[in-house]
Amino acid sequence: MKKQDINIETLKKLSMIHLTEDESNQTLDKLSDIMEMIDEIIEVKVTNIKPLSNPLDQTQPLRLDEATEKNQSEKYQTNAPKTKDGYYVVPQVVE
Amino acid sequence: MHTLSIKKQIKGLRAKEFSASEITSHYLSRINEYNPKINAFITTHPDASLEIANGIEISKKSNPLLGIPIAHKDIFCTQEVRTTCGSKMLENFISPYDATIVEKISQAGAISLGKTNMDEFAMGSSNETSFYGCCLNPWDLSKVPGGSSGGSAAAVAARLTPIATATDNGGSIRQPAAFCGVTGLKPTYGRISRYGMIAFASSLDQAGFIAPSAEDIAYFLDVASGYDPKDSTSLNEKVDITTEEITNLPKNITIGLAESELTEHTDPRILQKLEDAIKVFTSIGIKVTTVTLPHSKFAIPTYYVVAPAEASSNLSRFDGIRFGYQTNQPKNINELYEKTRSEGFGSEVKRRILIGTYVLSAGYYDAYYVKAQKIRRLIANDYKEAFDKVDLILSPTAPNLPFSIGEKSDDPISMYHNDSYTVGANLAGLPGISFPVGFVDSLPVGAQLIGNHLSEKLLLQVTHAFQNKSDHHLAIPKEFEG
Repeated sequence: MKKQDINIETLKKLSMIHLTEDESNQTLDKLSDIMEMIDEIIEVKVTNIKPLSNPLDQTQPLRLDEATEKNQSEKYQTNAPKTKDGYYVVPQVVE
Repeated sequence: MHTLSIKKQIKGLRAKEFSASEITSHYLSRINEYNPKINAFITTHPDASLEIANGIEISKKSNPLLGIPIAHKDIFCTQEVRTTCGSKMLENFISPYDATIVEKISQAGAISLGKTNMDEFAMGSSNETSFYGCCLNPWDLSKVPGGSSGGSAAAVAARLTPIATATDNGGSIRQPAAFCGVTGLKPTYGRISRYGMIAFASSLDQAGFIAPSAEDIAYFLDVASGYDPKDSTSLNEKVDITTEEITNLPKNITIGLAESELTEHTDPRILQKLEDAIKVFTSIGIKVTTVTLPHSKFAIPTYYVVAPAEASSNLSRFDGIRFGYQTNQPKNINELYEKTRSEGFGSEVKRRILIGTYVLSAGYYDAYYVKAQKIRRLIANDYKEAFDKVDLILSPTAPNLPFSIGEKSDDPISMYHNDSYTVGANLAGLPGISFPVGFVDSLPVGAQLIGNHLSEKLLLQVTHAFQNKSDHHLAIPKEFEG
């Protein structure tokens, strides 16, 4: 994986992480090295092999659509940086 | 008291040789004296620990774990005690609930001493990525304790706790156990509920234990295991091991020594210790043969697609709005997200989120993520074939000895290869145990046994049989003997 194949600006935007120009350059160098290591998987033949996402090949069990937890919103909001009247406060998003 | 096994501590408590308050005070005073040297704990709560201990009355009918102290890795949510996950992002986070493993252990009567240090969000193999400073290896304070459960391993090695909870996503229980000269069990995927364990990569994460011996771990494994409706991947299987059964080594056990290209990159002195361990196994009637795992050389690159992909998704919850760190005076909502995450996460965490974002992004998803999931099946198939021939697979736990602080911190690829021997078990969901097999240059060396799904009982029996014939697991670093 060459450095020019990685668009660091797109990655920053997708992952919602701000990096300075210096940080971006340093990160790009490291990412390029790591992706080169990851590229070892290219040579592996995987024809007719199914992806394995759960190591025990489990399927998700179903349960009744019932509320199992009581409402503890006040308790949960004690961890929020800013709340008002039971709502989370964020910067204005609609002009 | 800190030199006693958990079995002897239980016996001592029941015989009233010492009380729950006395054993708790003993460990708290050791933490007070020795923790400043190794930084194994991020948070302690001595008053709360003692208050619980003081209220304990032990009788012959009591749960065996009543009054036994334990430390929890700071990845497990605990009510009323902050849970940082080694990150600035959660510096002041107080969970509204206990993790299921914490709840079960607490209900069994064990006493929490505090929360142990770890790599930030469990991303690391050295503990150097902790926002709260690196934990140091009690065997040599210039060396790392391994990671990510370095605090748990170091605390056990220095006998600041008789046992600690830990988690293993790619080797995070086994590698620090090896580096610190203690025993660490990563159970089968799903054996212990992940509820309340802060998520890194959900298809790989597994809770387990670090303690001096396999016998110590056996006391806690059964209590912590089982189905939890709050974790749909948890297994409805009990461990079915009693601590009496641990002494019953089954007959006709065969261990397969894993032959792979990884051996070429392993310190030959570690391979020599493995040879010595094989002699012990054969002396107790265990047959040792060889097995091949053809795709093991692809385990690290496969892991570094799967784990960051899942991490990039899991860590998207840290948005600075509902809990955790928030940047100051953001101009708009995007700046709130971006600066919160930039300031709240350390560089390794950001790096892994970016890798995960890359391999999941349009145009690369099939080439990297789907392909890695297919290779994951090939790796799992290798183990399946090996377990047709042998009961357990033996290898070194890590390819190198504990390294110096800072030695690999600017070289992520070299750091990632520390987990070469361990990530395969996570990709295949298999249980694995690391146990001490000796010392090289006064630094501990660990060996790893991997078993088939749900074979924890056998892993503990075989390791216990080994530990009956060796004393490496009883060694305490000189500075911490007192």
